[in-house]
Amino acid sequence: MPSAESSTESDAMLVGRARRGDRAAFDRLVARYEKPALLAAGAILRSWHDARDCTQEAFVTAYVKLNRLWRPNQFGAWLMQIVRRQTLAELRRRRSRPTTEGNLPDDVAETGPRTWGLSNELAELIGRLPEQEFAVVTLRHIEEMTVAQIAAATGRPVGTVTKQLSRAYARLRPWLHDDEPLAKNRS
Amino acid sequence: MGTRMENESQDDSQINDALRPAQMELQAVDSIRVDVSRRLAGVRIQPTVPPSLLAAMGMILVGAVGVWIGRHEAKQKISAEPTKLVADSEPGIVLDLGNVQLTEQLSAFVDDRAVVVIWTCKGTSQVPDITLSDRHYKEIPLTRTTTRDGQTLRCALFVPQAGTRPGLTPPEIAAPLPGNQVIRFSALPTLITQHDLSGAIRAAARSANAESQGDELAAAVEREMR
Repeated sequence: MPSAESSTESDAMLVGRARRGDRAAFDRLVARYEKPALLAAGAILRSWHDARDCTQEAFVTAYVKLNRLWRPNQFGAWLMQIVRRQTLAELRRRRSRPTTEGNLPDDVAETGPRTWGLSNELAELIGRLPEQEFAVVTLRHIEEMTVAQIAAATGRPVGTVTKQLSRAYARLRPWLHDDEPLAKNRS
Repeated sequence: MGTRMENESQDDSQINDALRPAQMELQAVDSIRVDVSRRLAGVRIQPTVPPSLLAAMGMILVGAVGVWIGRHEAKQKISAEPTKLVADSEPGIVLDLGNVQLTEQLSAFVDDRAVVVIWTCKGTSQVPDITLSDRHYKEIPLTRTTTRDGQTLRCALFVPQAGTRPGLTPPEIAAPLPGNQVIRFSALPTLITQHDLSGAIRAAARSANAESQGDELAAAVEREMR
């Protein structure tokens, strides 16, 4: 299902406009990377509800620190870094939160595996890809963009995008072909 | 090549299929665009570091690196060329013996074999006959000459006796004073290689106003050291 965001305006252009105060340009970046970011956070937190909070937080952080982004065409990979950092910090906060004996913290109990099925194993695996590959794979398979659209959005040559996809597929291939549950690979 | 492309195309569709459940769930998650937009209304993009501050930081960094390199090179020079210090140094000990002033121009321990000492005397009264009074060394007198400003310059080679270590027991020189008194002083030899010895001797001769004697002195010492 193609995303409503079908513009191929490059990330670098949108970042440039956002830096000059154009909120609509940043909104387009949010639209482009919202689902990849949710997937990245969800793969760690195993809860869409918590992933939503973390992703919001990550976009606000990215906006505030937009001037620190040295390569605007790498906005996607940079955002994924922020999302992962934010999500891992949230995970640490949860684990350090005191609980009464035998009880999980409320949010973990409420948003645990119940909202994150085994069917999302591949999403978790993709969530562990390097940021650039993650951005490309999610734009391709979650945003359903073509390779040419990804190239235009990220400001990279089509060949580079293809190579990054190939590298990501090579990492995911053992899972795809053996069809082993991710839990086995984790040990 | 063709097989690889086929594999990748197969991977592409397999990933699509495998991600379908996650995609469906994602479709059901409410968009965050409105929330993000609302939250951004109250925040501003942090300003970048001003270029002037960056330039100042760069200059400080360059300066610090320059100082560090300078110090590093100076240290290397000292360790690689110890003789330069000897060759360029000011005269060593200056001893005031009333009417006579005694100056050690050079005292160098050469390749673990001998100590070369060059010293000068000047005074209004008769220059005392300075002799070695040390049983730890055998003295080989090399030169006794007069410098341009009328000082007596002496150069001698001291060969340590068996078991004598010049670093621990430097040669001792005795200078008789009027009234049958004697003053003794120890040379303070600096380590030097034979390769750099001639340069150090010429530098000492220059410093004692006897540059014309430098070559002759160096030749004499080299002859004895052979």
